[in-house]
Amino acid sequence: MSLFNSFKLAGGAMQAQTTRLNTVASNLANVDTAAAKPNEVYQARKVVFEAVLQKAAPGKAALAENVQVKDIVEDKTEAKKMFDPKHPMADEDGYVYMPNVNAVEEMVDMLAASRSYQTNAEVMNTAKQLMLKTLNMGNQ
Amino acid sequence: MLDKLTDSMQFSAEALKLRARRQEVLTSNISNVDTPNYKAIDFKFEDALKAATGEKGPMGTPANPSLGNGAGALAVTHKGHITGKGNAGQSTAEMLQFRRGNNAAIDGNSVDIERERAAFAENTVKYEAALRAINGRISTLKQAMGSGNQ
Repeated sequence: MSLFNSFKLAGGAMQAQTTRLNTVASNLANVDTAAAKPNEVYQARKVVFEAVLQKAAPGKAALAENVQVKDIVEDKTEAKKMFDPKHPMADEDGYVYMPNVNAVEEMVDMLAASRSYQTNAEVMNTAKQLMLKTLNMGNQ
Repeated sequence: MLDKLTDSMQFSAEALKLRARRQEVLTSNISNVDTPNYKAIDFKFEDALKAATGEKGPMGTPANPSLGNGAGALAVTHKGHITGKGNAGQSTAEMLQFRRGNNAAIDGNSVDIERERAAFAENTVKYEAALRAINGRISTLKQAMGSGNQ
């Protein structure tokens, strides 16, 4: 019954989007986490999704059977260097290092993740309704 | 006699099966909207239905008699043999194609979410239409069976 696969697929996508939302929360929470050294500072994290495809001949179109988080990568751009001699974490030259998190970018990512989550929830609901109607076949 | 009753429902049943399959394909596209290098897929419903029903019309009569039971039908070499339907033509897995006309985004993903949502809504309605056709057929048969008892 192929409609059951829709549940697995939409459920997997919802799980993946939740991980993305958690990553955004982590980035936003650490937007002001200062560090004394550039290699100790928090780096923004991004999730990479991956589709688990059904078996098909190479180069042929294949159906996805699940969506999962392949990896969480750290943003390697340089930390922001701020001159603030009064800061408790400041080094001997008076500099502190701030994370490379872009708050605006993170907010946009959050909205996109929440919209995708909603879409998948709707897909799942539609599949459920169709299945319930199919169960009722011939009973009218 | 009884196979004639079910034969007339066969067409709608195949249509329903393929609608469920297409629903799954569209779900695959929608849930992979943020997956890098995922390419949107779909299949041609009309071709798949033709392959599945051996070009039978809605009332169980072959649209093209020479294709009657489809390519996968059993050979009849003795008058006692039954024909069997077989699985005519290609399976839907072989008919899957990448959707054309969409430009891939910078991450290699070619899913157009608006288009997929629209196709999903359309397919939902058509699934219910196929279901209603079967329900109508069943209630007609039930009515015919019960008419002598009233």
